Amino acid sequence: MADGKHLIKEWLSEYSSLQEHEIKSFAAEHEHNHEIATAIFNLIYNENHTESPTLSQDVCEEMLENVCMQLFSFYRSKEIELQRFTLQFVPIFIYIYLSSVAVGNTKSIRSIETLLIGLYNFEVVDENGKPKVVSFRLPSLAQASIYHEPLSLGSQFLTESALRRWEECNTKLVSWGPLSQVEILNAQNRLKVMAALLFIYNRHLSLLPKLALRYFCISASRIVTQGFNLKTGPAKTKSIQRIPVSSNFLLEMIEGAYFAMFNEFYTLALQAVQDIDERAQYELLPDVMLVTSAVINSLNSNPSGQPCDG
Amino acid sequence: EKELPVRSLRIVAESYAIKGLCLEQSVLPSSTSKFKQAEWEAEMIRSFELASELTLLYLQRASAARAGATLETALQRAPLLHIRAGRLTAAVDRYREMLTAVESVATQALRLTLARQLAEVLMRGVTGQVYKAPRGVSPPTGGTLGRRREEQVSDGPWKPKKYAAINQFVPRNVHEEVVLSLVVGEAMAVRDAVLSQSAEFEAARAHSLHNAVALVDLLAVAVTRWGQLPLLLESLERAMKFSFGCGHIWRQRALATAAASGREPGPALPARPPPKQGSPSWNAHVRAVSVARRAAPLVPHDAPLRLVAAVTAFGAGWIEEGIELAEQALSAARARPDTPAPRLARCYLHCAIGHQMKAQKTNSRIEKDAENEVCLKYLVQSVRLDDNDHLAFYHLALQYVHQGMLNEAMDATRACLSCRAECGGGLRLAASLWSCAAAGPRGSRALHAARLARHHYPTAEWPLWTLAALQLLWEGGEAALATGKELLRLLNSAEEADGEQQYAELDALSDSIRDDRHSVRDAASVRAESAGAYRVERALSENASTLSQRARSPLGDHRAHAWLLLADLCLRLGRTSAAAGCVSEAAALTPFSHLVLYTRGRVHSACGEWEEARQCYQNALAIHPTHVDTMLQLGGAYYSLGWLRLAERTLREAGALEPGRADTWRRLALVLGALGEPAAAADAAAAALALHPLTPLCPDL
Repeated sequence: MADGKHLIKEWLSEYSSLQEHEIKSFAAEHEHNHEIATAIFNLIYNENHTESPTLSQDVCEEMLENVCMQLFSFYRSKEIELQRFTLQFVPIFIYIYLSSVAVGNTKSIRSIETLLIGLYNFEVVDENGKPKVVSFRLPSLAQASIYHEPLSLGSQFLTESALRRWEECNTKLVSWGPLSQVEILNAQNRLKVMAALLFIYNRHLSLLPKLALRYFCISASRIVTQGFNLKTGPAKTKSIQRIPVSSNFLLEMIEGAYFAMFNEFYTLALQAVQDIDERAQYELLPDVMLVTSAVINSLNSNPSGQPCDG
Repeated sequence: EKELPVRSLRIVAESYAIKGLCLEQSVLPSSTSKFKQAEWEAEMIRSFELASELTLLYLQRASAARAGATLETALQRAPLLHIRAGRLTAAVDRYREMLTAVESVATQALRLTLARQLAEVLMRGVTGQVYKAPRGVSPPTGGTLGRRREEQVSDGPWKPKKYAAINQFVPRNVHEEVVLSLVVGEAMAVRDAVLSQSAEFEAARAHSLHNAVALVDLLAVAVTRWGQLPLLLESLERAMKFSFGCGHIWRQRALATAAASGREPGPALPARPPPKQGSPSWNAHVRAVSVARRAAPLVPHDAPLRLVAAVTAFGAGWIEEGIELAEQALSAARARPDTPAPRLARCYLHCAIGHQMKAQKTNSRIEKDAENEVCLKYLVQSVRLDDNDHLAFYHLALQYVHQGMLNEAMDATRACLSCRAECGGGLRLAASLWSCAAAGPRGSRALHAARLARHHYPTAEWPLWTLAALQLLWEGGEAALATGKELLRLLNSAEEADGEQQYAELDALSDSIRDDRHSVRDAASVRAESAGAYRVERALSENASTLSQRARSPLGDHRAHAWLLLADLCLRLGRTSAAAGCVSEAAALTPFSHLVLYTRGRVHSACGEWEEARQCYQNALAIHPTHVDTMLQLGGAYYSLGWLRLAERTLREAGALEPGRADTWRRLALVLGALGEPAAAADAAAAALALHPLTPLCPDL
């Protein structure tokens, strides 16, 4: 631990002493600097804590604040490698943040909150300050594509809605956004912001370091199960508060876990999906249940995709 | 390369395939250099690629031919080798090459597999930045107009023919390609499905079902995140054709229909009226519940599915049906000893919610008591099983409020807020409980709760309602009026900023959204709410379902509410003309609302125009016959007009509907006193006195 702190201190001072023109090379070599990433993960997340907020006990708030500031300036630096470096910590920050808010401990996580708001506001607009939209066309069987021609698939698929989709194909896009920027997080917008952050995270999944996926799965499991381990036995203490969830937020989590499942973290990711499934059944969110059971069922019946660990 | 006769095509293809297979089998001498090894691998893959192209070409030419084991292996081998070596882009390219080749009879089954594999690779390995879009094949130009076969082109004599058409759909990003390949694959799976149920086709049927289910599952994973439920529902419906008795598909369909019924567009806040009969949303509810009923026997142990259906039924206002489903869920959950306690607790909770709604709905005393009792029993059980569920505590508190047990209600509210500090319903209950007379002068606490709610939910309207009503009591009229104006401003700004979208989001209370919508709607019917403002909501929604086919602006109801609240505030401040102005604003928005009539009646009452007031109240009652507030006011109007017997009858009716209201009995005491029945009057007054501490400081006229 002390070792990690030392490393982080060096890392902080190294970046602050960089000249403008050195940033590019710094970024290029930084992306694969696993040591520092591990050190930061250890700083913000202590695996030995099973319940209760998980900031390492001996973490000095000052260091956390400096780390958050540096990560944010990475994000603003326009170097894609540095942005990705910051991005890998997003899920774990979300977990720490939501967990602390749920137990009513908002003081110690101010810097994380600021970082998350900053990232969100940075990502929902493009370079010109216009709200960003991610969209795509919804293909229809009624329109010929590079993979089929409508007639060969039989007329039974040329339904009214298929034809309508064809008509709307180029005008009515499936889209994410536009989202508005936020100033503060409150009960009303918190989960929307978190879902958006995970969406952004998911867009970079395949380029993130594998280590990040591991922490992603752990965070996902923790978020949905906090406060559900009912105490048995004589020690009748009050359980820890649960973290509120919304279906969009959970759906984004499944997306990431599904990816992790086929990229070296099968066991952890499966655990995360099962935890999410359990939570969705508890909250009665039909769309989330739909997706989790689809994932679980497709693993049972169709192991062709070579899910694997490590 | 020149064109080969069909027979030699097969021979060449097979020889390449065998060469590839041999290379794969042969053990490489360990001494070879890296370079050699790479060369060897490239050779192997090239052989497979050539073999697969020739095979496709052969199958296109010789329409009746079958591929055979060697060729089929060769077809599938190349992309798998790429994947194994970590070259996802190359693998994707291979899949594309093969899928763009025109389908022939023998390749149908193969293309199904390929489409699925392509989607899998894209979903599991390629996100965002690393994706490269495929290029479309441009149709040949010149001289070929109108000849259908020309929609397929070929790059050379050794290449298979490819799909080409004018205005062809070419994916531009990974989402488009995933959905396209899944949709195409799903269509092929459905086309190839075996329908016969007879035993000899059992294996084939199972296989085709398996293929289709795999594709539908992938489709669910891919499109749900984007809210494309209609697409998914369509394919699940097509799957019905051959998935008789398949629990998974039926369950998925039930879930998808339930999700679709919950996501209707439009304002959803906070008083969500049950959907109008025949409206699209009503149809969605009907469908969701009936599909769930069909699916339930196939998954006998699935309690959550039944609960989802129950919640859908509650949402549509079919309370009895919802209770039935919830109780089925409860017995299903209890039948299994391994049900986790929190989930079992939720089963009890949803049963309780149903009974609570029923108790609120019914006007028969005996039935109401019975329902209340059942509800309380379930709630206590739920809380006992899971002491960390804010929603159960919230409903428990609500139930205690309904039954006038305010201390217990306060305890439950505290428990609710300690489980989730930001629970909207809990804050609202806290505000209204602190304002009850029994609590003594605790105005500051009530105000604090309301302000806290406003802090957590800055764009929701109900904290402002509460705040305004409470401010009127403790901070004076001006502050309350300012809050009321703020509310109106909030609603107007929401409408300007693309009304529906923005506003629909308002109900994204922090809690699990669906449940909270639930709780807010229920809260609307809480008698002990401050200032009667919330009663408005429930009544309006009941009204909306019976009346007015007219199209309204999406926020009309809410803005009318806000105007009525302002009118209420003005009345209490004694500004009758301002109140009249507010009422006419509201009337312009919702002319048929009984609340508009009721408030107008109160304006007349305030001016001492009892005859006009009486007419307004009677009109309001004609629209909503059990609106207790109006009945009270009508009784008051009769009293002022000197029609004492009518006043007594009206007030007694009101008392029968809601015996727990102190002001009914207070008025009745006045009327009876004027009638010269001192004993009865004393009884009524005593009832009023006994009930008084339980009533929130609800100002009356």
